[in-house]
Amino acid sequence: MIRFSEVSKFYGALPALRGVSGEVGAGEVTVVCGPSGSGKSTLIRTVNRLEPINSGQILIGGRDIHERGWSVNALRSGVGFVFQSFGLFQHLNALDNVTLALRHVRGLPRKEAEALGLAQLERLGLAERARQMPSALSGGQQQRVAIARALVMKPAVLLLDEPTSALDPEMVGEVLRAIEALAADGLTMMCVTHEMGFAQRVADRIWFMERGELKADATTEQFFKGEAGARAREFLKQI
Amino acid sequence: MIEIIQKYWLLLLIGQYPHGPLGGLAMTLIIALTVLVISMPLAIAIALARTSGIAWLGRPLALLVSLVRGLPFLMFVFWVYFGVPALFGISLGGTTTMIVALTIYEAAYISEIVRAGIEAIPKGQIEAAHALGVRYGVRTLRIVLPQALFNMLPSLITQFASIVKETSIGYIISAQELTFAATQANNLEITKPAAVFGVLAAGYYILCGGIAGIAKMLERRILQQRQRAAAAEFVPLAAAVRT
Ligand SMILES: Nc1ncnc2c1ncn2[C@@H]1O[C@H](COP(=O)(O)OP(=O)(O)OP(=O)(O)O)[C@@H](O)[C@H]1O
Ligand SMILES: [Mg+2]
Repeated sequence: MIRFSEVSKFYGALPALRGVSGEVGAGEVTVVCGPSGSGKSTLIRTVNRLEPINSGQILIGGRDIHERGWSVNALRSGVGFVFQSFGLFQHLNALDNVTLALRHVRGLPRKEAEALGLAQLERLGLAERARQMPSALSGGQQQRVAIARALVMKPAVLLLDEPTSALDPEMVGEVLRAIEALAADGLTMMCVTHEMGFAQRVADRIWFMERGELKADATTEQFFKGEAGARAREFLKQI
Repeated sequence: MIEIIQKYWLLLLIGQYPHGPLGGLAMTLIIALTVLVISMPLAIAIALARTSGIAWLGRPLALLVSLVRGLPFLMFVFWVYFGVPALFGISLGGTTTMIVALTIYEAAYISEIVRAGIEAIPKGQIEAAHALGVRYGVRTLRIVLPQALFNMLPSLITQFASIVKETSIGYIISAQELTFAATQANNLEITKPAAVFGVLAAGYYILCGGIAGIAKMLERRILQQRQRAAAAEFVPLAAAVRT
């Protein structure tokens, strides 16, 4: 579903990604882990062109993300992205957050968009919160609204960058359970996370990154058995 | 002072209207509102251009804004008053000159307020909009400007008070406004400048103080709204305890 071929990316002279190659299969969940600064965020941000790459190629469903005739906004509207810090529009209530792109990117009429938005919020257990402003929601609820906002676009893939790192510990569970349910539904996901328990339950594959390199690409079973190489074993021990 | 008010209140309120041109407080407000209405869109356009990241658009405007802000307002009055007839061979008259000069001046100042409001919007929201594939126009109209202008409302209202005060400069080019009306009253009285200009000062103070008061109140409201919103985070917890 997503194929990286020799993807490299520099911030000035600093290499953030060095020749990353790998494939995320359709319906698979790939957890990306690794030490701070290893390029995990950069990697998933290249997929919807939030970060431009310097060389290599990224394909989604067989199509090059830089293909002519595939505008960056069209690409992005078909790829869900969930940020660590939610990024909810503070002046819009939960439902308006969820329907904004349906209405103004997809061009759906308000009624239709709201029906879809409400259904999506309901699936994430937020039906009663639809008319509340983000600032009136808990962190866990805000992140679930952000997930609903991404999902309502029916993305081919969902990318999550440390979706629970900004949450109070008691709210981590509700968000992880929501993501777990999506995995069960067969959504293709790439998730950067330090929640290794979650990774073990939900991931099909684990990618271990270090200094911009994809050091290990293993099945979840292999990875947790310590069969993904010495560096990955060391990393696993530290967590 | 009471006597002055009793005698000249109509002159101070509407000038010589209907026997002469409209003036006084009414014209002061008309000038100030006209300036606000014209300079607001200009200011928004300048602020958007400067935050667009397009250098050839932003740089010259930044220079222009700093130039306007670095010169005394009176310069602009003179330039428009003497420059426009010299360049275009038309005379604008006092009131129009004031409106044009003030609009240039205020567009620069207000653009800085709007720019601050735009830059204060959390980057995460802009990035989220990018990630949803929301194009520039929608992002600007639906996400950036509503929040920037709302948060800057108190500053914008305060700026309106300063526009009102600046209209008094119009006196020197005979724009019919409040200060001009007061000097007419003063010329009729001759011996009571303290009372006349006391009334004038009180008039400006009540008007501008009132506007500033509204700005303060709004600022408190906006702050309260945020605090209430923050406090509401505990509601779900309380609900959880009940069930
Ligand atoms: N905008 C940027 N400009 C310059 N350097 C950057 C930028 N963003 C990231 N970097 C650098 O690129 C490298 C990879 O960063 P990245 O954010 O992808 O790491 P990460 O694995 O997500 O780390 P973390 O676990 O801390 O989120 C780091 O060395 C970082 O300092
Ligand atoms: Mg990161």
